[in-house]
Amino acid sequence: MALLHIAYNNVKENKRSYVSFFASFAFSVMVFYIFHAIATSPEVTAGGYSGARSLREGLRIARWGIGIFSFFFTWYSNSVFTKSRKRDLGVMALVGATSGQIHAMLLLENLLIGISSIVVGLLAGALISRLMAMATVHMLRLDIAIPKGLVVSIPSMWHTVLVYSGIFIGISLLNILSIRTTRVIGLVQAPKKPKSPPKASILLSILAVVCIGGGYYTACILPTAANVVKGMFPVTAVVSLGTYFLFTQLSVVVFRHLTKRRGLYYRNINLITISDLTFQMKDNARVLAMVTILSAAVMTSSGVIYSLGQAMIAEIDLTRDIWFALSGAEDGPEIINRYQKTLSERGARIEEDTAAICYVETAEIGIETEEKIRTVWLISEDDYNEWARRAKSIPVSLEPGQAVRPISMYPGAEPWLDPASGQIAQIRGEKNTMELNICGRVPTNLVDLRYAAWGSSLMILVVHPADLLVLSSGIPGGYSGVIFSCDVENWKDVDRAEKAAQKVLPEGRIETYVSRNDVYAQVKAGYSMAMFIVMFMMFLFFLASGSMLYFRFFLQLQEDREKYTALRRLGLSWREVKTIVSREMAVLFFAPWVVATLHQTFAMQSFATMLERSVWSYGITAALVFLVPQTAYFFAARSAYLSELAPAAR
Amino acid sequence: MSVLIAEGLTKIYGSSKETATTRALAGLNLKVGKEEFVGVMGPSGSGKTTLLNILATIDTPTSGSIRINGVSPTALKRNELARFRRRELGFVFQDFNLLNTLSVRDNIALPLALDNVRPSEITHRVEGVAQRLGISHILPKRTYEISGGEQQRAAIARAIVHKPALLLADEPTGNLDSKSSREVMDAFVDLNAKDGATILVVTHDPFVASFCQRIVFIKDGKLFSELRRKNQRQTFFQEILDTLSVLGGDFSNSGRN
Repeated sequence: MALLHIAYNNVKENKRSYVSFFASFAFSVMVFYIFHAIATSPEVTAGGYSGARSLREGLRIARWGIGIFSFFFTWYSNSVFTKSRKRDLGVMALVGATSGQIHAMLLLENLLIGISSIVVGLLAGALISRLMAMATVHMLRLDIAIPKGLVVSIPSMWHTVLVYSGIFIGISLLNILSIRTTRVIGLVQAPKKPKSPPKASILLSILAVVCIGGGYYTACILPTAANVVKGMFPVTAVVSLGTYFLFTQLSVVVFRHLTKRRGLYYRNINLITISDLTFQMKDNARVLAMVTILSAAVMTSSGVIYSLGQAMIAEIDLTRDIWFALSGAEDGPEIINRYQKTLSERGARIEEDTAAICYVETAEIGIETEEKIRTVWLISEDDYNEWARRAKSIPVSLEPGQAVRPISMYPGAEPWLDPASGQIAQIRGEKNTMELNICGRVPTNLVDLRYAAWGSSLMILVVHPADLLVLSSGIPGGYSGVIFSCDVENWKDVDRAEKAAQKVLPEGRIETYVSRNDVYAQVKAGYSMAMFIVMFMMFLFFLASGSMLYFRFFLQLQEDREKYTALRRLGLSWREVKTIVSREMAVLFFAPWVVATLHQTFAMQSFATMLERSVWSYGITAALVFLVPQTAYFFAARSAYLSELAPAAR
Repeated sequence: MSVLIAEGLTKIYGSSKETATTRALAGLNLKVGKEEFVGVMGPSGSGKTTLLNILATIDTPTSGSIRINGVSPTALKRNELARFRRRELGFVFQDFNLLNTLSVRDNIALPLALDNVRPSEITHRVEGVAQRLGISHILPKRTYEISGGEQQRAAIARAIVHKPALLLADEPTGNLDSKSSREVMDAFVDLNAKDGATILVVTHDPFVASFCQRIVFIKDGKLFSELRRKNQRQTFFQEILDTLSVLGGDFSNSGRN
């Protein structure tokens, strides 16, 4: 038990360096738990909304990412800790502690930190996942009762505990066993070896510029979406390499050059700051490069998700508020009339000039390049153009034997018709079968297939009236169903009216029903969820990378104390000490952000090519959001470090 | 005219409420005239370090007054104090305290840069003082590339480059072998004799002390006796040893205190 007591005291003694590690580790436990809990929660598994599957998949990948990141983070911090403790351990060895006792003590210390951070992380996770479940249910308007009180998902908990204790114990053992007691004793008396000035290669610095510049240039000139996808991996790899050399070589070259510019270098505390930074950049180069690359990746993905979400929300506005299809053409118009009446009676203000019915004929379609036989709705060219005229949409003009696909509207969508590059499709009607050339598409705001219940398997074609006549067994006006769509002025507030009006529609005859209100809620929920995930990743990542830099500073604390005590005798004021520390810390904390923002800007430029629209503002927003936690961490780390220095240098 | 006048310096550690208070200085008087080379000696616990810290304006006396070059540092605000320190005082430490991130040249330039002297002027003055101390050839080197004696001479260069009113040295040869100690002490003597530098050295070491003109012995925070050099250094050395044997305490370890 004495050993446990020593271990506990050691943790207390080193709490300043342990606290940042504790926070980062507990936070990653929390995020890991939350992601697992969401992925297995009823709101998601019950398939409450269309994005549920991709969300689960995304969460699984994110969990892997967090796990791997936690592993490396723990490894790094643990080795830094052990290094900073070597002197203490040496003293213990000198007074006769066996290596077994030292190992046991370190293991106990690690267990204390590990267990407590896992417990705290799980508690925080349970609390936050409950809040998130409430938010999801609210956003999706699901009828799921959330149990009262703090509910811990037992499988998620076990999963998290298993993964994290595995990481922790494995790394602790690795690190502890790497300490050789005999060598440790030597470290107690060994004089501090002064660092030789960092060397850097001009050639590799040039390579850094070439790699990054080339990557940026390529990102700008890639002309099409396909090129962007193809170029993504090599460009990322080259820019990452460039970033590595930027920090390990170019930064040193630049700072060394600054020391030669006497006018700048011999000005006040620049002398200290610049020479210190030359060393610190080199010492921390790998951490900085890694943080930069990961920041750029997380920033870019948050920018992409943010802009995709915004784009989706913007596109929802381009189509009708309500559209549905009914089978049975005879009483179709009558039912739709009743539907509209109910809707109006319940307070919905239907925009009359947008409400329109269009007749369709159902057939089966087999396309030469696809194996599946699918259902297709055929609309006569005349009907479509009449419909389009009323809705101020784009009309079509067809020859017999040709067919055009209506597609969802998006900004800048152009109609297109080219018989030479069409696809031949076998259409089988009631009795007759014929071949049609699907040779064009036309954007429409009448229907929006993206959000239809059977999504991609539904197909609508506009065909020549003569062809339709053949397929509908020669009966004029022989339709099998109707499509109705309309806009509602107050669409956001007609949820109840819509539910009531839907009851008018005969059950079993609704082929598809899409309401913008629902779509909006789902897209927004899916998008918020994705943003949540990205934000969590981002915060986790920032906490951890901030901690790594913070450890570096604490590793050199003893040296810095001596340095600033001496400088104080030379007449350096406390204010100047604060300025020096702030500047040096700021460079280390914000250099990755600056470089990552640049990387992200060019990555977003590429992404803009892919999306065919400008996403600048989203990228800038993501970068600024990123800056907030980084700045907060900087100030916290700065004041913690200064308060450690104060007794020696104030 | 006196560069330093300290009267009735008393320093008590531990607040008055606590029972265990330590009296490090008990009404010490000390005067150092312009262009004087003074040594302060005393056994461990005699209050040497406290005295030096007070003279260095890093610590403040519990009572008593101190004037350096006519200014009372206790009356200054913290930032004014820092400025005062870097203009009026120069320091030489036992462990040199050279920054190993800087070259020798930049280490010497540091006090001038902190005082915002023009860069061309800095270069000029650093080269002048380096030549004066015979270390011009090591200016571009790093601190770990040069010997201990050279490091200490570089530290002396740093301490005098801004022409301070008072040069304070704390066991300046504590980390040096006898040859280097001699070089360093010769440098002090030379600065004092030719440039008229006012120097105060705190030391354990009778050999170091024998280079001074006057030695102040303190014991239990008070002045014990004073010795003036009249003739040969060797004779003075013997006189110091005699006084120390009366003073008592441990002087065998002339290195660390």
